[in-house]
Amino acid sequence: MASKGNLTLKSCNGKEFIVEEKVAVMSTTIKNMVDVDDSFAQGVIPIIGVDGKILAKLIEYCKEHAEADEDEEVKSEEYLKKFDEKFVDELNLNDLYDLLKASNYLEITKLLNLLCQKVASMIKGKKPEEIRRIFNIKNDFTPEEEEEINRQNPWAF
Amino acid sequence: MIEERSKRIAVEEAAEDRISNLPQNVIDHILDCMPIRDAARTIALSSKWRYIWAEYPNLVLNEQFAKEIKRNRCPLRFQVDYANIVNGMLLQHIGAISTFFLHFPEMSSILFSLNSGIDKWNIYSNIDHWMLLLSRKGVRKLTLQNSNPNPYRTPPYLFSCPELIYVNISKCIFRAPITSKCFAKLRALVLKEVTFEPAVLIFPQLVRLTLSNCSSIHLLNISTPLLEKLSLYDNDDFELSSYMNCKFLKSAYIARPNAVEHDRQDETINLTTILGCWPLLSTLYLGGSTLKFLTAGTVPERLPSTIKWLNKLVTFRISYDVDEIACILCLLRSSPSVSRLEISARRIINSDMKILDYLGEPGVMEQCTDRLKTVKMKYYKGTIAELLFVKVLLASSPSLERICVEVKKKLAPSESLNDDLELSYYLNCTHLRVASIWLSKVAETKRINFMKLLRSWSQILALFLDGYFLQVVMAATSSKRIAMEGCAPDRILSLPSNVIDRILACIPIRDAARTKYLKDIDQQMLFLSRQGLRELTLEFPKPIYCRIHSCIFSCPRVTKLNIFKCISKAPTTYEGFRMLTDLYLEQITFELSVLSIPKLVTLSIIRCQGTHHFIISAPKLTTLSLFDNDDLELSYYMNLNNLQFVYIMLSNGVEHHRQDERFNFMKLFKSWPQIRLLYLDGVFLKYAAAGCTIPERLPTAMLRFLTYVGIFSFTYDLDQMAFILCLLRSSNELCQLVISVDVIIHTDMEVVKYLEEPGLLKQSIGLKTVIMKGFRGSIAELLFVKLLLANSPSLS
Repeated sequence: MASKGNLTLKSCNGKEFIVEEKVAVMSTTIKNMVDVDDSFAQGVIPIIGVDGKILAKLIEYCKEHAEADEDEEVKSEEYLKKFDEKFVDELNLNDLYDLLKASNYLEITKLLNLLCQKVASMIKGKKPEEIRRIFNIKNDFTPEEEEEINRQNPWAF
Repeated sequence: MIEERSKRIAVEEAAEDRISNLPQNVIDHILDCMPIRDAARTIALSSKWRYIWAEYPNLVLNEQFAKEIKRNRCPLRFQVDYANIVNGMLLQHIGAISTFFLHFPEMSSILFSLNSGIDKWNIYSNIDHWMLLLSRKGVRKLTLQNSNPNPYRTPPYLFSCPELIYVNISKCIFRAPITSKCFAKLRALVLKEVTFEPAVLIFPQLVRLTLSNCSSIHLLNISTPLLEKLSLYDNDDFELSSYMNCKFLKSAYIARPNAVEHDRQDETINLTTILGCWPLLSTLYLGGSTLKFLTAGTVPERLPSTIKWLNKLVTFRISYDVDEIACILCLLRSSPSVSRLEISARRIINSDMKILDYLGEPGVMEQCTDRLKTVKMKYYKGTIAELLFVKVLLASSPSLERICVEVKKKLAPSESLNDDLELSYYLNCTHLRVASIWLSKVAETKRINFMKLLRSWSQILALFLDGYFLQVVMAATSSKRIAMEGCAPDRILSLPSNVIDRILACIPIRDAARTKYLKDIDQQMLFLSRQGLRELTLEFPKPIYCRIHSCIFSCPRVTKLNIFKCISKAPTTYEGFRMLTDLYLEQITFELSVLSIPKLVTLSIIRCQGTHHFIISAPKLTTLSLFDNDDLELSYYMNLNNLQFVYIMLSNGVEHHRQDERFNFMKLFKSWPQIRLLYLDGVFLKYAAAGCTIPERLPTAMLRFLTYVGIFSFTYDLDQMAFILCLLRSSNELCQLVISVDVIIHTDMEVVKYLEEPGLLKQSIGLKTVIMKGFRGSIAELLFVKLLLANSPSLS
């Protein structure tokens, strides 16, 4: 059972995490749940559709940033930037998707921003074929369609 | 069997196209993070993405977009193409456009005069069309940035979209929309260099309004009942009467240009009346001339009603005129909860007798500002008027915690004469916790009595000083020796003379002459060590190598210590550093010292000399960085059970003759059971390999947690290659490998032969990411890549 000031989060595969409230409320969704219904603050908050591995990652990120928000002097911006860089660098593509979905659902704006930046950096400056290869996107255009697209938007290529 | 199947499923999963199935808002967010050209290029990915782009609601056509189109096009052609591209984009678009940002690209003035005749290609007429379309597309955020010299005359339908919540426009002639309902939802309005035509504007929901460098403001009649943030900056006219009924105003920023004289003086508008109208005001920014304007010669002792919530007061362009200062003091007296005060000086500061008399008068500020905690003085010049003003503030602010004095960077020679930092006024700030003092040059002053200052700042926790300041302090304290209680014996002078000679040999003659002051630093350190210091950064002016006094080691509460360019010697007995968690040493010359730091977590030793004299015991260490030191002595770092991150670089070119016979990397890795990340350079690999023969693989117990390996200045040497392969074979968890190549790559036959040998890597490895930096495509590299590919099934 969570002690006072702590919340218990339960992943979809049944793993429970006890985290400080200030860490958990980095997620607007959780914040709203706790604000609206007191029973959540005492009991277990189920995090639907997020498994234990991803939830652990989310908590790792929120912990670091919640502490920084509290006391600017302990963790400098530079430190956080390095942390963020390392955090996204270590992710594989599947984790990246899972985290994107989870942070979108849980409304962790800062993290969602960071992850979107990461995906954008993988797309920026690349040719369509390269992007397709990276993300396994299937090309379902006919050659005629492809030509039409190129003709309509020559400036983009 | 089962394991294999699950592995295959994992691989298949990775091959699935998950990005296209992300929620729409996430995809839009990703597209928001890149330039519009990159976002538009996703149209060619698949039919799904074609629709994603067509419905993408945030069109940001900024300067970069225009520049990319401009590239390789002649100016006349550019104008036509630009219009066509934007036309095409808008015509292909489906659904709402919620954000539209348009930077009007610069057209050369010749073209403009040409185009005024040929209206067909006039970019402004195109923009008119786009705006009409937008107004029907539910646009919510609209930004127009005009970089042309002649203003864009906004069409009347521009603001007719009822969904608008944010409008930011520059260099335009503002024509009011036809119906007054247009701005029903508008929350923020930012106008720069806008010329107004007569208009009555009603903004029922407006929260933020900024008008800067605008003209003909007096033609405007604005109603903004819910306004919270107001900025009026250097407009041609100073018209506040429209904002007198903004009851919810929280932040006001008001400045009028210095040079312009306004004849139209409205008698009823003054400091008392405007602040009386804004009862919730918590932040106030005022320019110096605005202060003068608002007080118009008569400054009351205090305002009739207190500004209850005012928390932050910022005044800028202050010339230390009597009216200005009286007005600031009046505001301070009338605002009981103000906690932050900022004053930026103008270039020229008034120092006539009038202001000096005014500030010198006893009882000029009898009332205490109880809550004032932070004072910031920008462009501080050290004139007498400023000093007196600071003195007045300090005398009346009992809870002051932080004072920042920013001395202006470049000083004209004539100004630098009276550039002295009078610190004695800060003596009674007994609550001061953080002080930062920066001088950009050596100031000629004898008045700094740093010791006394430190004694009065009994609660100080962090102190930031620069080298110039230390020089000044040194120069000042040496002129009159201070008798201090518990004064440390002069340790430098009691050293053997050959050691002193060696120290003197390390520094240029000019500074050697000044070394006699260094002992005063010791005293200051001693003093600091007794004040419960927690964080200390010491950096000396470039050429001086100062010996750190051992008293630093006796601060029991220090948690973070950064030291640059010193000579370090620990005392024989010491009990210090019980709390130290971070230690950063750069360009330090060590003398024999034995340290035990029980809580140390991060240790960095960079470009130091004599590291073999630095014997350290740090059982809790998790991060270790050793860069370019003169010696590599790893035996002190054995048996670190918690070590997770290791960065080791040996400077290239330095030959390490002192090869420790006992050094053996097997032993080393065995003693670091938790290691997760290794950053090594090629020189180190060679060094490590030279000691012994490299085994096929290490015992399984080692490197169990290693997930990341980075190698720098790799030369594809045979020893290096063998070492890496040994690492790869031994670490099951390894998933990322980064290799940066040195300038020179060995491609002798030996390595090629070695790599071509079949069965070099028998088992498969779990690598997921491999990054090769500075890849040059030599045979050795290609063979290595081939080898990796053949044996890494999960490489992604």
